[in-house]
Amino acid sequence: MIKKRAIALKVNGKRYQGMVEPRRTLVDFLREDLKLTGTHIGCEHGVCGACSILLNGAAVRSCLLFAIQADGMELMSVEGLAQGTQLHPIQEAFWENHGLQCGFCTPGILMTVHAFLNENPAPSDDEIRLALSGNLCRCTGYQGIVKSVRVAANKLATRT
Amino acid sequence: MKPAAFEYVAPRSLRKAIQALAQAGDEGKILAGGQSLVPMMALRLARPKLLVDINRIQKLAYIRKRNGALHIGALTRQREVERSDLVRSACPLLYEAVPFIGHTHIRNRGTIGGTLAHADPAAELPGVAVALDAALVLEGPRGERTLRAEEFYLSHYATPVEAGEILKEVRFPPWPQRSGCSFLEVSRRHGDFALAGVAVRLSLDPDGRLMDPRITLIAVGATPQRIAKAEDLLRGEMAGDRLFDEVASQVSKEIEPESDVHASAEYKRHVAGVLTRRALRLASERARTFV
Amino acid sequence: MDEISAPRLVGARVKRLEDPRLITGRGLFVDDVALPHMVHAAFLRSPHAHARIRSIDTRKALEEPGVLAVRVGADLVPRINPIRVGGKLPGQKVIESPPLATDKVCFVGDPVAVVVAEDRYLAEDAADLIAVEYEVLPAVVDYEKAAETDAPVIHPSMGNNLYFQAQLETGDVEQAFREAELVVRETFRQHRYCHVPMETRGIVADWHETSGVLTVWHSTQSPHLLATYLSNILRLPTDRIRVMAQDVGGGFGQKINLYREDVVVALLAVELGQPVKWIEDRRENLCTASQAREETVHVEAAVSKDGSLLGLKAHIINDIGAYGLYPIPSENWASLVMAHLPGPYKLANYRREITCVVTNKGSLGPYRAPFAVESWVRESLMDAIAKGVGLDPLEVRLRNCIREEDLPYSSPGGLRYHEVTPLETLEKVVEAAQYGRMREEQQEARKQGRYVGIGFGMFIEPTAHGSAYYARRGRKMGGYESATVRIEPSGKVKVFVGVSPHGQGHETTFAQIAADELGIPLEDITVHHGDTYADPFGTGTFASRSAVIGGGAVIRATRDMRDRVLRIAAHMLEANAEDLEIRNRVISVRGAPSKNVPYATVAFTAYFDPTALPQDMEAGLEVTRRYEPPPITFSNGAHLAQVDVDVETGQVRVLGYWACEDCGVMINPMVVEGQIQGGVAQGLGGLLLEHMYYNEDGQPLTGSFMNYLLPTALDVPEVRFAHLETPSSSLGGFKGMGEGGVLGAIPALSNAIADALSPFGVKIRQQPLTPDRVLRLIGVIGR
Repeated sequence: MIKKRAIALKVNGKRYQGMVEPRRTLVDFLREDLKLTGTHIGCEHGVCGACSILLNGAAVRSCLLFAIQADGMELMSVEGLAQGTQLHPIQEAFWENHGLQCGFCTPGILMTVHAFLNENPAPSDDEIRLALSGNLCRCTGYQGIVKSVRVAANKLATRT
Repeated sequence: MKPAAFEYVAPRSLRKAIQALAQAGDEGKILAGGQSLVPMMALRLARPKLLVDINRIQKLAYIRKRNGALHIGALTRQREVERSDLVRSACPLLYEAVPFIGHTHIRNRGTIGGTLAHADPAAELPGVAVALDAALVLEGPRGERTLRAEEFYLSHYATPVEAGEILKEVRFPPWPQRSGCSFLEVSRRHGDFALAGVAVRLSLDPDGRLMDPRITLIAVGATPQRIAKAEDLLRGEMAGDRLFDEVASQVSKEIEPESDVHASAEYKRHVAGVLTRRALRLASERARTFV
Repeated sequence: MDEISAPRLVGARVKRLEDPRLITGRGLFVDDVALPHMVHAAFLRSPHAHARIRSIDTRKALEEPGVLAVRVGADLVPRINPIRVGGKLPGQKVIESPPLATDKVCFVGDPVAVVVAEDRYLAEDAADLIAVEYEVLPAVVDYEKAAETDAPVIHPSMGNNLYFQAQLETGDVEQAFREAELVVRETFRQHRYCHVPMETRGIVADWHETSGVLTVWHSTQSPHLLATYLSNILRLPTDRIRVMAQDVGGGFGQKINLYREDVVVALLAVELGQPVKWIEDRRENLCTASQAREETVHVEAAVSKDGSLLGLKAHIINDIGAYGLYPIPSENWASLVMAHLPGPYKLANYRREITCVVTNKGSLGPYRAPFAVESWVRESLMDAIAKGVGLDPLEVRLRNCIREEDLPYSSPGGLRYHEVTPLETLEKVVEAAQYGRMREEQQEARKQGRYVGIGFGMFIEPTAHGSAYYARRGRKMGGYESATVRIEPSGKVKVFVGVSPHGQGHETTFAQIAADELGIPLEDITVHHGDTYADPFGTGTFASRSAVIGGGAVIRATRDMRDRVLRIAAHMLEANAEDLEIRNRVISVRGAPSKNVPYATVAFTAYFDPTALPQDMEAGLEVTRRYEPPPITFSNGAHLAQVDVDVETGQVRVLGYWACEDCGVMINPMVVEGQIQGGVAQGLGGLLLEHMYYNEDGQPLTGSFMNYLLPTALDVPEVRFAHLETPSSSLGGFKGMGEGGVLGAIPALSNAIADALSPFGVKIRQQPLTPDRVLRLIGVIGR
């Protein structure tokens, strides 16, 4: 059996430690070891985007990273968006605009949108759709999501 | 779908990485972006016994200009290249091709070296490298060696990289003045593997004639296909739609694509011609903006 | 809510009550369930489409660290009742699927062994070490040839690969064809595809030895039915099975039946006395969960020269895959196709034939609008008729459409349409899209060398099937739904329902209904589902039944509850119940607001001061009612698509999309629109991108998301809506909806593409419409 290694990382601003086999994927580490089950697994081949989180601020597929690679890094998952009971403007926008139905793909989309709006705070609809094209949703047909992102961009722009 | 077990090292120097790979031989694999490798491991189609994670070798990531040539460290993330003003001016064809690679999440981790070394026949950057005569610099247990892009791509996923060798840098030659380029591809959805793709560069001499034309196709053969016969038809001529139609037709004739689940060989042959024609027109227009 | 009159919530675009937990990542999907001592299962599956199993050697697997058990079919078969489907109707054969394959495997992915280990990684490692010796047999892949005499027989007990065959005729078909001035003959082929919910299947089974209770967390659309199915197969009484499904990440019909994996995992949980979890991976989901569609339909239409449909002959050959899926017999889907084929058009003479065959592929299950080939075939036929008689496709539909004066209309498919509005929806969508102008723009585009097309897709959607519907078909299945309403001592309301949402927003829509009926604000109401111990018996969420039937049950229960509450309040206020009104959580006498009692006081009294209640009234505030709907409730719609086809690359771009649906009274228009938008996405995906492709050896070549292509945000257009609300006669006036998006989109887009390419004389008779196929249809390649 391959020996486990110690890793230490920050998730949503909080420090965590763990002992992992090299092959343990980052998404499994988050869900099983850290009990942060908000990030979901949709395919494990890096296509659907349900597992998307932020690694040092960049949106990545956590199913394509091994936990051991995240040693010393800063991660953000959906659990880090809201501040206590105060929802993030992106979450509010999705709630107000029917940006989800079953909710399974939603955390990955919220994280993708968070990174996207940081980089492109005033996107066009075409840019929004392009940014979303790496996240699969089977329920909504995307329109509710696009609308939610548009509203989220406005909310963030008017926020002081 | 969980990967099979493997040993793991994350060296901080190129030398240590080379040592570890050389020792492991066939059983070792480089982990760079992991966007192609890890899905294969999850499906248990790839079962390396040792992963050498090179992501901690900081000095392998850079974008610089040297004597007009663009040097990019192999570990540079595709996303860095996508956003680099230096790349935009020093190698517009590369700049245009990178956004076709997958999606943002993929490009945030995927590396330039990784996609070049993976040698997927439908990948964009090998096509650009071959079109522009890029140089690929390897380092291994026996030292450094440089290969031209055309000698680097042997077949599907097959390159001359030996056990223990790592691709460490790619060099794109200086970009000629009065040049225009175009990278076009057709895929089932945005970000999917190309069904056919073309990288074109056209340069104009002081009289406005085409000189040093470059046409390379991806996804229509086991390696990027640089179509010398088509380039010959263009050299020394004045740009024009009828010429471009003829060249596109020549390209269709020259290639031998294979059918797959997404498209037949006939489709790829036809679309390669269509894309070539469209790319030539675009590149020609862009070249003329410099005149 | 301090307004003088509280606005009605039914009909309002209310933010969903289920969203807060989902947008913060606090949903409870089955993979989020973690129990002490929980262990993990992984399946070893057949790499062959058709083979005999000569031997299975599990010794090496058993020796692996962390492995608790390795089991094969022979270990499990004696412990269950056989999983059998069919054998109920005349001519309907029986298909049995062993929990794990025993003597042969019948499709790639057929489960052969199961490993239980401390984690999924170890379980897969051990599964790798199981050695199976196969004798490979030729695979049956071409369903059109599966029933030929020389085809290899998949299930020897069936004799051949023909599962079911039937013929029905209504009216005088031969006469109709004699009168025809034109006969249109076409063959349509629709491919196989997959449901692909973003959450794969999953189960956690936990057996408590001392109490003899099996608790199952599951990603199911029907918790109560699942408990019944498990009981039937595992020989456990239903009162000892608790099924829980709080959050389910999409189903689309894939999660309504019992799967063999459910049985295997439950058996292992019982055997090991520890919770066992199995979460399906995506490759398993694509290859081994139920799959959809795959049929050939031959049609002949007898038409008069003014474009009226006089008669129809149709034969469907449907590929049902290797096994039946318990408990619904697989010819059900082809039967539905044939019943709905005439659609919203007048037709008296109709002959139809069904042939269902087994093949060495995944098993067929219902997928959102499982009968969807009917709308594609019929709507394409309408366009073919239009061309044949020289009419605009709109005109031919206007001529044949069922009109208000024709209602109630008995369709030759055996359905009785009333309260449907096909003509009205057609007229409305044409107006919304400015059809006349679109045709002008099309002419302009053609002159510029652009290939723009317009296509219609009309449908009548069957929803909310009642018990009478099932009884007529010899099926023992309840069509009713149940709702329990409980007002807590605090005055807050809990509604427990038997339906089981997986994205449809029931926690909101049923709360909207309850709020209106009880006169209590929405924020005081919570809707509970997905726990068979807490929720009254119901059939679950599928076949667009929840609004009508679940909604009807909630209406009944809440109306009873309101009566109760008013009786108590009347008693406390010494007034008449008819003189009372409810506003802002207070019940008062109309016109004498000082004579009032807070709702919460009534509630408290009911529980803690029962002697203050009216003499004949029991304590507490809890009502359970059921609602039995009419046999079927129909909704209907008309979709219109506008596309641009690049005739050099075969790529299709959707320029515009309009949908006019009549689904009766809409509880929450936001939810309705979300359902239509989602359905359109699945229709578009199926037509253009998705293909579950098996090669001639029965190998699935599209077993991952690399090759099975789902539409993305760049592929799906924004649907523009026009709604009609013609109330149904069901309680609440609701009609079901949700499948119409698929029914409308496939033909609207297909017809639009054919229209765009009409200069080339293109007929679309095969799906998917890949760019390759488009170029072949045009004649650019493949000559």
